[in-house]
Amino acid sequence: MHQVDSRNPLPGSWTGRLLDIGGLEAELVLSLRGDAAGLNGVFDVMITGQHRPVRLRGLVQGQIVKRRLVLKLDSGQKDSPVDVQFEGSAHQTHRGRWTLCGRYAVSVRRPSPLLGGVLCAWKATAPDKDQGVLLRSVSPASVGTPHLDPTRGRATSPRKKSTTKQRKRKKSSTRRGRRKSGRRSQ
Amino acid sequence: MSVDGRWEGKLVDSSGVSARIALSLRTARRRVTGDYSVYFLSEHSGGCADADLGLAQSGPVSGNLNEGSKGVSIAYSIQIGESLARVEVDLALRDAMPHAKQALFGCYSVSAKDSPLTLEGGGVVLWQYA
Repeated sequence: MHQVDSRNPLPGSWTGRLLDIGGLEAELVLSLRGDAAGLNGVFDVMITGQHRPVRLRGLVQGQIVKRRLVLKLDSGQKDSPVDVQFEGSAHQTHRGRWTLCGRYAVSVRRPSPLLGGVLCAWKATAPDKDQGVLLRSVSPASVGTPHLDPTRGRATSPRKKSTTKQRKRKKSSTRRGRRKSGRRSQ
Repeated sequence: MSVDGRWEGKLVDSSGVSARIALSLRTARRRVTGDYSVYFLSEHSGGCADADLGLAQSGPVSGNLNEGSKGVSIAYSIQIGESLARVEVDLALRDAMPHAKQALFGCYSVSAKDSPLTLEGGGVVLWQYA
């Protein structure tokens, strides 16, 4: 586990989740640098629970105000201009884990899938590993995934369509077999 | 808007665990009492959603309405063996249309010394649908 400076635990990589009061959930990766006087960084949010996942990425700015951590997440994108303001605190749990937890509000210039809710994040153990978790959680189902055939009652793989090359190769091997045996097609 | 009644929702813990939570609240003046239940999904869940939920914790809760009745602060204690863990929850109340009638959302913290409790603290959202 990465060493965390207890005097300034905020910089670093945080992994977590958002629970929105509108029913959506999102996975979050947050990278911060700086200190209590001024924080900045980047965020990566993957919203699930809709027809297809929606990804929001952008910049983060933050500071400590009256012992509360305030973060502003700005997607800066014309098609998804969502500004999220988070207010919460960073603390160590009874098991020594650094946690960021609080409520967030959303100010939008256009309709947003997010309404507001809670954000809970924790210090990543390995940045690359956690990035992989965010991407894997929304990867599409792989082709050729075995599925259950109700008529047979056991798992089968879906039949793959043969390519033209494969069909020609199969045909030519049949012709070769007939020549060897001395038979001729009529 | 009132916090009275039955609430159902989810929590996400800083240990990475997620769970379902149900809460029943009653208010008398500014005092709040009720019951809570926390359910964890089993590792092999994949069938009917409710069939794989395992009741992990339940018990009474008590607390107070926040200033302006815009939320509620409640707490409960859990005894596990010889360890006692205290959980404090601070929730804001808000309209949640069109998803639900209203929502309570906020953070909870766990104060426990050497406690075997799985939960360490995190966020929770509860909805009231009717």
